[in-house]
Amino acid sequence: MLDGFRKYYIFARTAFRDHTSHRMKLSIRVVLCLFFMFVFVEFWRLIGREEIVTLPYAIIDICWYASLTQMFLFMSPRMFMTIENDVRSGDIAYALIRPMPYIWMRLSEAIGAMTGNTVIYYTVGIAALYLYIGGLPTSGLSGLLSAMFFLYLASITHIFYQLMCGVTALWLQDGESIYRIYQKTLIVLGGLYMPITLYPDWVQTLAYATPVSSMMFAPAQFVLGASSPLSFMTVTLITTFWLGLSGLATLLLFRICTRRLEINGG
Amino acid sequence: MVGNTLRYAVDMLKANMKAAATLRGAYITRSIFNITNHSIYLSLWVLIFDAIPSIGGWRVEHILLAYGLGIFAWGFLSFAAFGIRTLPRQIDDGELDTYLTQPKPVLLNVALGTTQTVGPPEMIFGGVVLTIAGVMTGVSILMLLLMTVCTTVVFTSLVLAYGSLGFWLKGFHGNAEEIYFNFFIIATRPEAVFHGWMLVMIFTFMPVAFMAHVPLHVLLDNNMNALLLLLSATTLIALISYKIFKLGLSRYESGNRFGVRG
Repeated sequence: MLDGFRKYYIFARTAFRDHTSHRMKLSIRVVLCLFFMFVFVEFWRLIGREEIVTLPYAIIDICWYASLTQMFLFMSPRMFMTIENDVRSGDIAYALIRPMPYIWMRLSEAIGAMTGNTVIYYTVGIAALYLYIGGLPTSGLSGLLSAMFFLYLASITHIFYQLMCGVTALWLQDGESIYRIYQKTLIVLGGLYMPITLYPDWVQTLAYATPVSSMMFAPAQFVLGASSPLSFMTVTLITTFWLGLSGLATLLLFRICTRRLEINGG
Repeated sequence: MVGNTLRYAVDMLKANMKAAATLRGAYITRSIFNITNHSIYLSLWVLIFDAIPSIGGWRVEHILLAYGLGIFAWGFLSFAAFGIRTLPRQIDDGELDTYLTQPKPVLLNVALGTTQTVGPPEMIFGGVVLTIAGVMTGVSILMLLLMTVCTTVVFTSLVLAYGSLGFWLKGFHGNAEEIYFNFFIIATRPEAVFHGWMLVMIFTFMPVAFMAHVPLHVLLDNNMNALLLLLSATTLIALISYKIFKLGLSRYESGNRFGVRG
């Protein structure tokens, strides 16, 4: 049992080291992420200055919220592309005969790379945001730390969806198209630009019924201060539920797609 | 000479269209996925403007114009110059070797050597969005067409310039794709968001302001100064991008991967 986990750990550790060794690539990505987070901060500052609507949250909190959701999108490696490349190049045939499930191998690698990103974004990104926004959210350090903890867990769920999108390439020869739809659904119903509590009621209901709101809105709403609608326990429950369900769905989809691959002969 | 090159470009485009037509099922599926993808993203702005009626003077019609221009440019690039998007990968794999030995311009071969089938549906979708925005704002159709051309040239040039960084940075493809996508996203954000150092950035190092913000001034304010600025900037950006590509090409070292292209 421990040996089983050890091999996944080694894959994750190797991916972590490999990912963090590409300093130039990482730096460009971090600079891009910072730029986007600052654009979001200015976006909400502008809305705050114009005072066209009365927002239920403090502008400083919304700036933190939008920046953290943006950071979430940058934290995960683009694993769907790796799988799609494996399928297109035919390399997946070699990976499938290895004595470990291909999908868990890729998951381990993605978690390793994502952890590398998390370390960088949670240090450089949070420090830069603190300086740019000019203070902590009104919920203080506890709100920020809760958001960071759950965003890390949510990133694993996000990786599961990327794996599912990548695996569909076994079927459709293209994982990117489905990923783009998933990504846009995540952006809209996950609440990237603004908290989903600002959406019309029917959209909120729709968002709460999907896993994407548990991946961005639920963790990031901890920085919205006293007005944050979900408690720590609720977020723990929904994060665990969607994490488990997404893992199962990934496994199931992978089995269906590989069975099809074997029948067709690749 | 120019006539021959143009004929060659048209033939390459025809070949790309034929390639797309052979995989009809995949083509239709991807087109549906792609249009769904853009529709979902546009719905986000409808939701935002439902909650906040105006952001820095921008309303739904401004976003539609900016998004329409951007998506048309993206579709054109994917269809007619997809090779520019994959330039960093081609450099890493040493794929430019075959083009260097051919009499036709290298950039033309790079651009038209590969295509993405979702390009035409994206161009059509962009056209539909622009038509809706045009009706809502009552802008001149001729100006709208001119702005579409300018945005396409600016975006293609930006992709060429940043993609050419692959001559100096190995394994740059993933980052480059992210940069292109983010250029598109920044260009469709309300202009008033950008001020101070950000404004300097979007007019210089990443001149995405010329993709949508300046064209919107031309279209909606009939601002002739903005038109002059846009035309000059479009020419300059195209020239600088080509210069960067040529500079990179002069230091290009081919890979050792063996392959045949035909």
